[in-house]
Amino acid sequence: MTKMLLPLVLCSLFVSGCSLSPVRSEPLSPSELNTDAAHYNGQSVVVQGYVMLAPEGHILYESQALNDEFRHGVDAGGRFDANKYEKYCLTIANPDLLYRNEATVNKKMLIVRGKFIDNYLNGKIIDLGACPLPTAIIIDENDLRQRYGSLLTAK
Amino acid sequence: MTATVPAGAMAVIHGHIDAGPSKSNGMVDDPASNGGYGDSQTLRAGLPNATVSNGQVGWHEIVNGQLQYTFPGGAMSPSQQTQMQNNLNTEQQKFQVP
Repeated sequence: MTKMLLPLVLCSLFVSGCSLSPVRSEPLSPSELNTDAAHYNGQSVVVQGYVMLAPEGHILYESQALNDEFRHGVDAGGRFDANKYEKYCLTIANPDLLYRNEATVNKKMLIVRGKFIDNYLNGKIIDLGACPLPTAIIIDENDLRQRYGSLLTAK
Repeated sequence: MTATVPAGAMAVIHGHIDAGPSKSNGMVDDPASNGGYGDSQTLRAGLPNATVSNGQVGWHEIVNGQLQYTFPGGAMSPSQQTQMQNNLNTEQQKFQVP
């Protein structure tokens, strides 16, 4: 019995060294995913972001404040450094459900679960609504319905 | 708009919305909605991008490393031309070598 428990005890003491991953209670942000894209590639993640749906955009942005700041800078022109904001933008690879419910989900902070990929823009597709970085999240629509069923009235 | 690039593709064409609540600003693109590329996004794949708006066509292209937008005379108002130039200035950064 002791022999069986010892690995578990050691594992609990040195979680980072075990095959078990510590469970993170807080959702990730787009920038956290983008700055460590290789690590999260292919993983199921939970991310919180500001939903921006437009005819030429379907993204999760870091926050409303940063999105407003970015838009203001772009619209003003001049020497605004747009590249500094790349990490805050995460493409939603499957935005159809959100578009069908645009009136109720657009410009809202949502928490979504989905599969993170680091090669959405792989040179073989054109997506006018994608972020500058090649990363994206494929949203788990069932999870989204569970979280926000009242907002997703259009199926 | 998402599409797989077919073999031998030479350009992309897309339309702007001319009426209704999601109406576009004519031919002007919206780089703030997709992180900064606007309609120059297709140039990453080496494909010029045609924009159809109110029955007219403009083109995003890159020539000797410089983004440009060409359009029929009278197709854009002065304020739209100013906004398009601001957009091109932002989008150009994406094509600069660091």
